[in-house]
Amino acid sequence: MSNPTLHFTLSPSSTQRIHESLITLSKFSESISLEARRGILILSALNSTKTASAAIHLTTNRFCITYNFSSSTDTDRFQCRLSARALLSVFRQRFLDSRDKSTAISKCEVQLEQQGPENRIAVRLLCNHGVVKTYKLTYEDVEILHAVFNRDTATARWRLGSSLLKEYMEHFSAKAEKLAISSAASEGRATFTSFTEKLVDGKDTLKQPLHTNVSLDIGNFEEFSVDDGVRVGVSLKDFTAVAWFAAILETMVEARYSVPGRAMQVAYAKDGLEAVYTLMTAQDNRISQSFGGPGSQMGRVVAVQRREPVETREETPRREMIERQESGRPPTERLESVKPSGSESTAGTIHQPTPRRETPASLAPQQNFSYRPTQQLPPMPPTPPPPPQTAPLFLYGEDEDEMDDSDREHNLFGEMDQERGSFTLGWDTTYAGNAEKGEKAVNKKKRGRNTVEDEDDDSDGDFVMPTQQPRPKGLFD
Amino acid sequence: MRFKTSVRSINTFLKLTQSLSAIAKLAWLRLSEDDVRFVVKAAEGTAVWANLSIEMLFEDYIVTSANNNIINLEVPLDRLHKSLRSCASASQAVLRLTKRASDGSPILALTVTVASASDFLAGSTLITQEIPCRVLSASTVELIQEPQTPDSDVHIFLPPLSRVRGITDRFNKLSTFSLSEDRYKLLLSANMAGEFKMALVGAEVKVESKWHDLQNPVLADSENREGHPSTVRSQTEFAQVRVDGREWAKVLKVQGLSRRVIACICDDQALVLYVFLTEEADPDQSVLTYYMSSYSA
Repeated sequence: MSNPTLHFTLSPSSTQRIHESLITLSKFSESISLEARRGILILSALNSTKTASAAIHLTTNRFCITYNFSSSTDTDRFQCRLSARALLSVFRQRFLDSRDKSTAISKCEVQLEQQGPENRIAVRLLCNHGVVKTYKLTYEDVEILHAVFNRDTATARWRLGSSLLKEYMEHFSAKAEKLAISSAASEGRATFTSFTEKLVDGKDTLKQPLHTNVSLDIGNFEEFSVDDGVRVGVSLKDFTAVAWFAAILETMVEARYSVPGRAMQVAYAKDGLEAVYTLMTAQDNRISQSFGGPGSQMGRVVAVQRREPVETREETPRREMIERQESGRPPTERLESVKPSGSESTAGTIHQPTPRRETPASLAPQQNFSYRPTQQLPPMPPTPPPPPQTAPLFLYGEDEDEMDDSDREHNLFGEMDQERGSFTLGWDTTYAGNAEKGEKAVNKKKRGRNTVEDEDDDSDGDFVMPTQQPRPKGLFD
Repeated sequence: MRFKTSVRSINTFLKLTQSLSAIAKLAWLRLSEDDVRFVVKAAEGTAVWANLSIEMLFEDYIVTSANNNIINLEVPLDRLHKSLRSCASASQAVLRLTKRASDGSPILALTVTVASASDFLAGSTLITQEIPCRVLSASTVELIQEPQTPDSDVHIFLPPLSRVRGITDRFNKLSTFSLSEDRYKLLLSANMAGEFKMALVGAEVKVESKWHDLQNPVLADSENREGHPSTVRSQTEFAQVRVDGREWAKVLKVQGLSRRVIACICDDQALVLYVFLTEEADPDQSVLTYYMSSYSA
């Protein structure tokens, strides 16, 4: 099979856009995926709870000065994942800042370098006075999941200028968790409301974040077609990031959604760049309860009831899925290659604890998953460490056993690839196995932070700085 | 219990909450028919008692309660400040005490009306900020006592706080190099001859700023001029306090609010700063009183 080639050059203004895109994406995840296809480049990020996905589509003939991509023989695209932090340290300058001439650039070149075991993405910044800054970034090969969104069922839709949206968002305190968007179209009003669902102890009342309500005339919207009473909640942090980038681009923001529990898509475009966000929505229990019922306690109970089953049922399998995805390879393969930095000898001891890790690293994904049933361990509570605060909103995965019909519609991620079938099976079997191994999994993860996983290059200790996420290689070596 | 008012001076309110939140996170807010009082106390010891006329901040002010129409609240200053920032382009801002619909917890609700700037045909935008708060009982607030200080040895009108602040920031920067325990300790001293000094004295560095030709306020008739320490001592004799430069810098954040500032120094004991929000001739005597204790040498 032939290696893919990728080479493109960017103007200073496009490079600046990349910088802003990366800032936005980094609000969603610590790693950013890059996908190159003919005529299009996609930068994307998926948050750890799989409740929000952000993708920046770059139409290469408009966004790039030059763009050359030839795919390998077995696929029509190149996909990889990079550390958001590493990318941001490359694209950190204000490339257009005329006051600071030293950081101004004349061009940015990006090239995929696949030479032997050293796979890198090289970024060259051509600066003033002939200075060239070259950065080489390691990457992981991954299968990128793209959020799917059914536009046909998303009947609620609005379009709003980004500067107005920014103005409204400025009223919100960053500490609130969620943002509800509701329509009172009959009265000609729409409302953005921030809220926090956490139960607050009497003593902690004063620790509550500011709750903000912005009610505006729908005349401020370019278009507003949302049925009266429709109210959906999204993560305020996500939406703030969405609005932030939109304001920079000075463009029209379009949102499409339907009902709580189904995804919302927010999109905007400018100069060959299109940003698409798929955000899972939730019900605003707090408010609906105050509308619907007399007592306030009801709502709390409902909120708790709603969460618990979801957590216990969904969290564990999903964790498994996340692991697989983050590594870009099945977990076993990744763990196999975990080594304490610079030390071969101790590597063996890490292999000891569970038989899983004995699996050869070279196994194909299908094989990895097929071995899993043998790895099942007897049930052994307690379960893995506490899940993230928010209830999982995306019912993730394709497993029909795990989801009823309505749930399946919530699934953002469709059409992964031909591996899907085996993957699904694998999920089901490892569900039991992995749940009990939660604690071990945590240990592994901890180790992974300070170590390297580099199956190609064992010789030198590719040391990675401790990060939130295991990476395959050192970033700056 | 009812409290509702229009915010008259957003700017003053914003500067006030900003100055106070530099000192502490929570404030005791006392609302009565006569005045509005904010009281904050830092863990480091600095306390502020802000007594403001109602007109300084509010208009159309209504406060009623079973406790002589006094309402005592505990309010998080950062959120009060953040919510007031929504008023920047407001045509109207109303603050009231209410309960949150969803859980019945007490809140100060600030409702801001902003005329639509983008489209004259569109109706106004309405922003509601819900600031969490706690209602304090009369018995709780009785325990909060304004600090008592002896008659001051020296009292003097300070130079504009913005200048004092600029120099304080520099002194603090110099202090960061020091490793001694005296790090950040500033000596503030003044005499009754119109002189005020601020000095950083460390092992490696000694700097001093000196102002002269300042005014020493005349004691009011009500005070005992004869035996008052400030009249007995030599005019040129300095009285001093030692304060933490970082704390002092926080106090000086009140600069944007101050019209005139009187510093009262009780030698080696305490510094009391009266920050008036009005000029001397103004019948409105709204004042922020800062209490700082002196560190022992």
